[in-house]
Amino acid sequence: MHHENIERIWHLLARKTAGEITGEEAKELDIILQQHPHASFIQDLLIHDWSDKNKSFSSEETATLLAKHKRRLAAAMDQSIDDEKPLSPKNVPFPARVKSIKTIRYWMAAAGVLTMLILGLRWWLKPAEEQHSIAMERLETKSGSRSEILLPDGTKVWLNAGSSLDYPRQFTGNTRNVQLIGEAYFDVVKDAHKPFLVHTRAFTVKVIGTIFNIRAYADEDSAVTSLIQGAVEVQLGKSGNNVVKMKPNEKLTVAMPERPDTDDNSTPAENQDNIEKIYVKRGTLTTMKDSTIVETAWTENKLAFKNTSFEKIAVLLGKWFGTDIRFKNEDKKQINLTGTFQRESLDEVLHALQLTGTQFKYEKDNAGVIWIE
Amino acid sequence: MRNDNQVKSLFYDICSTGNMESYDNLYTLLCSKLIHFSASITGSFHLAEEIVSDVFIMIWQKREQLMNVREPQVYIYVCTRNLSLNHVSQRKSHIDYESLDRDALAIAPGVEDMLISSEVSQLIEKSIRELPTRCQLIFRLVKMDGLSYKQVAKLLDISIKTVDAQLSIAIKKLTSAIQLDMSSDLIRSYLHRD
Repeated sequence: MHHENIERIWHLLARKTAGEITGEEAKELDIILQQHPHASFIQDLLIHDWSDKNKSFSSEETATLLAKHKRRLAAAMDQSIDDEKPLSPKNVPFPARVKSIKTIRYWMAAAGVLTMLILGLRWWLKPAEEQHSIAMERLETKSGSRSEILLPDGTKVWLNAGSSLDYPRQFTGNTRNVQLIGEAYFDVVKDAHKPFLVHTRAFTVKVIGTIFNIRAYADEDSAVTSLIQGAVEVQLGKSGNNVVKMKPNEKLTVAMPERPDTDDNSTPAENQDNIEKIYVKRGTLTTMKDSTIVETAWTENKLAFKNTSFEKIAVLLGKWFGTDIRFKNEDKKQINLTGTFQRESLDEVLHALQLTGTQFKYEKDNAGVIWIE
Repeated sequence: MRNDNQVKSLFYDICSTGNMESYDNLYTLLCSKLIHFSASITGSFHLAEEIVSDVFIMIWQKREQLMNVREPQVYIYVCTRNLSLNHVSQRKSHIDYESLDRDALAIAPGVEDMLISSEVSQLIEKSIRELPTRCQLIFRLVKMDGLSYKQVAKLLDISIKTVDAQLSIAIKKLTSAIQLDMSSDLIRSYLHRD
């Protein structure tokens, strides 16, 4: 244990808790956490939601507070309408008038405070540029790090390593649209009047309110939608005319379309084919012995695979740890492996895979690439 | 969890369209946090409830003028802070950290979904209550209210560096509290809960 590591960890954990951590720092934290299981425990504690100890409001209590507030608001609005009317003994009974003078005073004071506040804030926050046009925001994760975000409508999104999500600062219009490259897990807030659409290169997923996972990395040959709860509609093809409806516990794998502008060695004749061919496979989600769902394990910081080829696992591990993993022997690619990992380092994962009786060796070259043979 | 974007979106919707539904949602989203914040200054949840209600009445009445507010979340907290200070004493313009109500600030990890024992949760709560009050307030504003460093810095009129440092101290203290008292068995059972 290095002393400076321990001192550094409080700082990194503080930044992580506050959501202020940078990609670099997140990597650094991961490395230190491998060496200090205690600190992992603290990290878990800090990531979870905490609760008020003295007085916590249930949703019923919050609803009561809101109702109470709305009554006060209505009274205040009535009062301010009354205040604008010329005061005549007819429409302002005596007790009410006393009250309204008090209110006027109160509001004059409040308005004074407010004016100062607004002036102060304006000076302090500097003049507004554009406030809330349909400005887009982008959340990006580097390989080796993951992130989560709450969208303006309350929808929760977990973004896996090496991914990006474009979303508007505000959802205006009749639909809620976001653009995804990479992998994300969505817990969409229900709004029957405003469908939620996730656009990827391979397909568009349309939902009302549900939980699902999409894996659509640009460098992989297929994209997968996995449905946990509710119902989704996957729109395929350039026009989105081909629609597949999915049920919970199902997954849909779609071949990633060729990038139109890449200079692959595919023949032009094939590319100009007017008939769109879309390769689609319907399946069910994969569950491990401990009931971890493989497709969404990453959201629990777990890395899980079941009877998966080493070639695919290498891609998973590469994104997870932010390393390039390649094969020297083609035949090693086809070995099928199963495993669940949570806090292990890349070294530990590879070592564990060796222990399962899989015959392979690995070494890191000068460029940091890990070679498997 | 950060809810800054949600606050912004609701706030501007109220200012631009006077949408009552957004208004109700904004109140529901923030009332518990603001009431605790106000109660830590005034020492009374009853008073805090009225202050937060007053802040929201003001937001509704002045909504058309609030379009230019750049940081709605900071704005709402600053209004709450100022109205709360008004109730404590007319003269004070800064939060008197010494007299903050620790009870209103108290938080701890939830026992139900965390798979930690109530003893551990209590240890953590105790260690946080032992922090200097300003540190406790900063920790709460970040962890519970989801304010960013920048927002806390603006609200308390301190530097971002101070926020960062204070939060590190809080985390260091709560860690040492459980490390000292928690048996290693407990940690092991937690770590291997899968």
